[in-house]
Amino acid sequence: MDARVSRRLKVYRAIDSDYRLNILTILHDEPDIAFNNLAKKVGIERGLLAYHVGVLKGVGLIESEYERRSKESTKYRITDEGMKILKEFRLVKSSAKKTEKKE
Amino acid sequence: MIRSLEEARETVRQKRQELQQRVRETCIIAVLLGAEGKGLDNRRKIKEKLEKEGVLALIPEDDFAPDVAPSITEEAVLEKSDVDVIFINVESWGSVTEFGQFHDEERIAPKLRVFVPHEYHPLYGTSIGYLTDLYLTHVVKYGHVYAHDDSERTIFPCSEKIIIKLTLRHKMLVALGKI
Repeated sequence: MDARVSRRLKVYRAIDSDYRLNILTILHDEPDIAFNNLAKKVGIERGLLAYHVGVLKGVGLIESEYERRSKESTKYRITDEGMKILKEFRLVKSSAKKTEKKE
Repeated sequence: MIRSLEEARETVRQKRQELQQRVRETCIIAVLLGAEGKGLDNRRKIKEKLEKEGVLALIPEDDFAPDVAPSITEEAVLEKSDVDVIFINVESWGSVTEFGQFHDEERIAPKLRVFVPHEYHPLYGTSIGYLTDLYLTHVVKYGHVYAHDDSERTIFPCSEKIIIKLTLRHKMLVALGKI
């Protein structure tokens, strides 16, 4: 199978989920949100959230930073790939075109 | 114009189905459970091979958020997630406990693929005991208990070969709409 097709199928599989699409939009609106706050925003139990962020991380749509010493939990943010997905499916506004900006 | 989540989800579903029908392929999500140490190294090797074949493979120790206790995450994942197939290599007290906990849960058991050392398999091994008896019940009720020999000294294949074979066939059947 062509690598691009394989990648596309993985991404579609990852985002074909209400929870995971919602997580992406939340991370767009609130970058570096802590795990516990993300769980409250999404409205699911923490165990299930751990799985869903695992899937999104697995396909590179989000990334995380875990601070062992800090009292705060892991922080999550959307990647450039994740942003492209949100724009492709019109969950966020695309950037204005350069020509429009010049005018 | 910005779409709602529902509209976006519908579009994702349509595009996914169109692509799957066009290329006659799909992607499935597989979770690999088992022991730490050598078992974890083995699972990482398997994950790498599965990923190359277009499977989204997850190992709890590496991929699930460390903020939640593993046992809590696993229960949620097994019962409520959209994972397609769960492989459990029963090779430690931890994985024995996992199997014991989930083997007869109606929502979980059909997704479980259980791997046991060949000597403990209820049909091919010589072991007698509660756990082997539990495997026999699981085989009768759900099937999917596989004998392996990771040392590859007997005719039984290693767990890696079985997992990859099963996963790829599972993926193919999902792509063809037969599962």
